[in-house]
Amino acid sequence: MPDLDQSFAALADPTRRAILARLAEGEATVQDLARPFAISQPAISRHLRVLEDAGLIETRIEGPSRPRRLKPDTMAQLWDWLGQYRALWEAQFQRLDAVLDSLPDDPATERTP
Amino acid sequence: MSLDLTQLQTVLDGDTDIILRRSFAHPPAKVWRALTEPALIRQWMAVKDHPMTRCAFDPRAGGSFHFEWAGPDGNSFFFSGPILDVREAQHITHVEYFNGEPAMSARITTDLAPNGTGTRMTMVMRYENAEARAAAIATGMTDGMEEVYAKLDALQIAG
Repeated sequence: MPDLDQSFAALADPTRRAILARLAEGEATVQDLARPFAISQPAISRHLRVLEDAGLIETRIEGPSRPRRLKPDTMAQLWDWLGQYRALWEAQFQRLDAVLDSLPDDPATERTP
Repeated sequence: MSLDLTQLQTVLDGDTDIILRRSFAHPPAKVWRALTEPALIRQWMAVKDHPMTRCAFDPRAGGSFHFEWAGPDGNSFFFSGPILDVREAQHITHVEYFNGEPAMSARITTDLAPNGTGTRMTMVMRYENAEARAAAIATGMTDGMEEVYAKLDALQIAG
């Protein structure tokens, strides 16, 4: 389990969150990752090091390209403590509660044919 | 805004599943309507700053669904997929693709059971493998991170 403070610090940067979102679509090299961002490859590499030190991503050693990918184990562990993520679902379900409260009790009279 | 999260149970099951459990104060027939009628879906699936631009749901085996939102930058994003199995007011199985990409698909089963005068809902989201589930969690986390951080800031946990 990576250090929680370190993981939070790594996630606190919007560029690093964007990098994670890109890696969620599949592994990518530094060059792939630098392209959509208006920053240099060395800057991307620094962000990648922070993410890797936080245990969020890993490097696949494959010749010179060294693609980065998400670490599934860490993402599963993050889930356990990132309880606030559940708030997004709960907020949606509370809106569903409100819709249910607004529906008539007898669906036969109101149901669209 | 503070949310009572005790009503919502979320579990990672095995390598591929996310399980959500939630109770509602109304019977399964009503919950079913809210889950399957587009006019009702629009009321609770609207996301802040993202108006829903398309909402179609054809709840029968062989049917399909399409939920689409317009983002602030003009880009739209959508969830869509086939409906595989339906038992009215009890069960639905569907496949969900994000922006039509099969790489991030999940097979989702939703079961509604009577619970006193209300409903107990169990939703199982099954991904292809551990990597696909991690990707889905990462996407949800990064999409929701601004809101999460606002909450953490309020709690003075972050930073």
